[in-house]
Amino acid sequence: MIKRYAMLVFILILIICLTRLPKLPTTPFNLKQLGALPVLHDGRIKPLNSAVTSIMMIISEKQYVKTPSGNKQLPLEWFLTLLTDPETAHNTPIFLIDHPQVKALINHPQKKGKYFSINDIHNRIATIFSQADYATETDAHKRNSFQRDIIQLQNKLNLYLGLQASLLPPPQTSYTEDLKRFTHLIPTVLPFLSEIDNATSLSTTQNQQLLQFIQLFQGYKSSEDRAIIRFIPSLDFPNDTTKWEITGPHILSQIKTKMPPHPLIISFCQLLDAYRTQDYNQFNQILTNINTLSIYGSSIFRKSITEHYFILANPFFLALLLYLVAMMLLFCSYIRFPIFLQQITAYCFKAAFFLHTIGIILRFYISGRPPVTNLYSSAVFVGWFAIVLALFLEKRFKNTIGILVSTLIGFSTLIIAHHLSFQGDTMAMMQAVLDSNFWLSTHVITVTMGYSGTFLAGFLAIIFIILGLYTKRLTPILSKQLYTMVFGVACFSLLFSFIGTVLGGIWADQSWGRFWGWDPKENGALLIIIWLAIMLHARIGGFIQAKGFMVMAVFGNIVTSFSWFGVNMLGIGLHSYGFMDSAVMWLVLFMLSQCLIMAIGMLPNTYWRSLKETDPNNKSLL
Amino acid sequence: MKKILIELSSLKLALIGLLGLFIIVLWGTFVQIDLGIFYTQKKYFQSLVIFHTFSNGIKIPIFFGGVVWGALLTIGLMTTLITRIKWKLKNAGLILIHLGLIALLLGSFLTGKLAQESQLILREGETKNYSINRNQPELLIRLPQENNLATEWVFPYHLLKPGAHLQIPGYLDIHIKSFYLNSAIKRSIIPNSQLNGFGKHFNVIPIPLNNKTEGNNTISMIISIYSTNNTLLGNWVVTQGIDADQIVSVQEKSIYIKLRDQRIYTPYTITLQDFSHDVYPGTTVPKNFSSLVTIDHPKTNENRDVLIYMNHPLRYAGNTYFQASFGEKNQLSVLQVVENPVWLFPYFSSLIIALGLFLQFLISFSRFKGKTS
Repeated sequence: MIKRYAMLVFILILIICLTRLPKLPTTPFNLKQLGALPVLHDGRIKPLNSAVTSIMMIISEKQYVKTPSGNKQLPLEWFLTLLTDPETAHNTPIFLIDHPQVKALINHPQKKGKYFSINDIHNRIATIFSQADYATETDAHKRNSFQRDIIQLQNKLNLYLGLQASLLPPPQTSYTEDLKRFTHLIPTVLPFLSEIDNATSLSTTQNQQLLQFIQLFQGYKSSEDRAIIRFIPSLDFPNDTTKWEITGPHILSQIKTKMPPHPLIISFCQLLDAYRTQDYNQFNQILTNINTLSIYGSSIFRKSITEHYFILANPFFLALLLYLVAMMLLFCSYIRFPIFLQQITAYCFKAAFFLHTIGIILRFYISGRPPVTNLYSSAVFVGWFAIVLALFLEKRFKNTIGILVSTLIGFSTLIIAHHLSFQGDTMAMMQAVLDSNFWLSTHVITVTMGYSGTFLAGFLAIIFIILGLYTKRLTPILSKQLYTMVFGVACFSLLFSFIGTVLGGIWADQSWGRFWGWDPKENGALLIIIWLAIMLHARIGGFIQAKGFMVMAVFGNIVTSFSWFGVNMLGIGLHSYGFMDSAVMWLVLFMLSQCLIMAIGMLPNTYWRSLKETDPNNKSLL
Repeated sequence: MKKILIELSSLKLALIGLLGLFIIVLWGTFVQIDLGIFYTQKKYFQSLVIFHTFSNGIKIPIFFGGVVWGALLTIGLMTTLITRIKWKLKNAGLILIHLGLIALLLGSFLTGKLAQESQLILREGETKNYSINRNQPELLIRLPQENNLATEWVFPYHLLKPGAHLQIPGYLDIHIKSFYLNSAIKRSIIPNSQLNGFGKHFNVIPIPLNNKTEGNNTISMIISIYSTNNTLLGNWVVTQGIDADQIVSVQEKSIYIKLRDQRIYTPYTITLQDFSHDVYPGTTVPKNFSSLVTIDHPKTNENRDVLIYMNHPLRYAGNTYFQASFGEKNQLSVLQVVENPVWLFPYFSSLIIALGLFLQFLISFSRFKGKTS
């Protein structure tokens, strides 16, 4: 009976969580289908929605913009507006500029808010570019916050202009009409061009035709250097990313090849015309036709479509919410209704862990890469693997501590991942040296498993300290269990951190000829190993007791967070702007909080409620 | 004696050693922001004592360096193995871990002493039988031809010190007047009357060491050259900053002098056939760098092509060649050359440690399982 009620409550929770997910807008235009179109961006094929969203995230650090008339636009709508109604787009405040000196540079020092449209900064673009070029000459780690932000603004402008140039130039009459006219003009105009020297001999109509041709030519040509998204796969080799083409130059290539335009280009022209005239029936019809094109049937596109729905479904975000709910319910269950609430907790936790696992598997399928390739995926994986370890512990001890620590770690690592995802493409291509699935799946995975272990030990130790100090729940049995758990996990973590670090050394020896070079990331990994060795030796030598061991395990959290994030942030001061800079603040706050827990963990036994109430003289363990 | 051994093998000593190592690793990570990796290694990890240098040049020791902590740990590990750990099967894991650690620490010490790094810089089509080390330039003196044979004298870096006297019997005495570890070269408006060669038109100004990247310093010297009968022929500037010979006339014969990057010769030649730099389509993100080279080694009858690319170095005749850099619009390739006779040390020792850790974990795990069930 209780189970049935618990299931009912769980379903209710699930529905509420589902409504919290971000969605595509409800317009008569089938944007879901448009967003699924595969394009080539940043070296890999991905759905259009992902490409446009990641660009908007970099420009505005938000997933929507507000037009001057107050409409909220999601990335795809904004993209269509940018192409078909540039006037509105150019007045939409999208550029996030919050550095006071950069604001002063673009002559808006007094303007409230931090969002600017391209028209706001239009007449200062030359200044921005020259200042950014000047700043680029300074070494990357020596730049001050102004230099970093002005370079960032330059990148944002390049992305904006690049995105605008990526599909088709603004039409003279309509997209379709322009393309048709251009195709027709080619055979007519080409003979004139060979006699360009005596242009006087051309008739008035011929002159007009030539002029039209040149205007269209320039329009298509303009995208050549700026386009950042490629829309046109090769008809013969759709899977070969090196053969994808930019729309404009592809149209121009008709002059040489004399071939009719690519079927996709015709469709894109019609699509944009339909959007310009707000004809959604036509728009949706064309999209359906595009999707039946044979080139979209190959495997690489199936992945891209999977990615699109993966991002829409956002399993990690849902898991994040469910971990949070499970954690809160578990806390409540310690006070009232233990059986009922723990049953719901179990459902929520299982669902969250299932989504977490499915998410990792899908990412593996889509990217064709091992689960950890960058900071974002490491956060997802560190949490996932710590939970796997905690579930082993729970299976053995059955004291709900394993579930408690799982929800805690699952929630916190996914929230870190959620914030890291705003930095751009989470499945970006790997730069040269890193492009090695063998090392990514051995070295990187084992090192990350080591992180999972030290965090798990640290969080268990926090639970030990909090339970012991503030509650009477830390009975001798539970404290013995917790101690065994932390000790075991620390040993496990030492094993994996060591193997991972050595594998890293071998990788370094293979690619740079040195096994060990004392670089920050290597040092970070070494610090974890040394710290775990210190913990174990101090305990074996009897220099510390269980309590001291717990305090040291909490310090392990600090060491691991330094190794994981801290070394990537070296050289960035505290007083600056932007994402990585606010991450520095969070890291410092986390470290301070751990110091605080260590401090209270070192309070004498008389302050520990669990010890006071049970047996104040019992010093056997603590 | 036994007392000392037990004292050395104590866990207290191990803890002190580990803590010391922890501190310098952490410290050495932070100072890299300003000091750069190369000098951090020298100052913190490959030193006995870490000094703090005040702005007025006074040095005071503040902490023990990596060598001391490494030695302390090695001694501790050895004595632990002798006195503390009982050589029984159930301790096999522990014994392996500690043995492996000794080998690892020794290996890294030996690597620091024995490994030599240099660079092989090749344009496409170019052939070389030597790599260069810019950090340790050598003074080259080319004597006039006799019987169609030119003689070259090379004074290696360790002889080039301020105040040093270098002799070529029967020709020259060279006296090093000043030696700058890093210098800037500026055109001078008024010709320097005390100097000959390009020292007449260029001023060489000592500047602080650039410690960000290795090999970015320009070493210069001012030398006085005397003939064998002790008459001063003049003062010259030799510098890495200007890649050209200078002529010294002795008894109406021309002698060429030059400070050039140290050359490390090999008994074989390497020719760069082609360098390629692949990017991901539609981006400037590098996907791969590779150099197609030909090794020609007449003594071993080898003449073959090898492709050196990311994560795939060429190991040949005790040297390892890595794709390190490139230039001149992808026409030039820079290969890092590492000669490290003990490169296998870390592989073996970490294998032993990993095995030991694994065994130990298994033993503890079975004990832990036995206890709880």
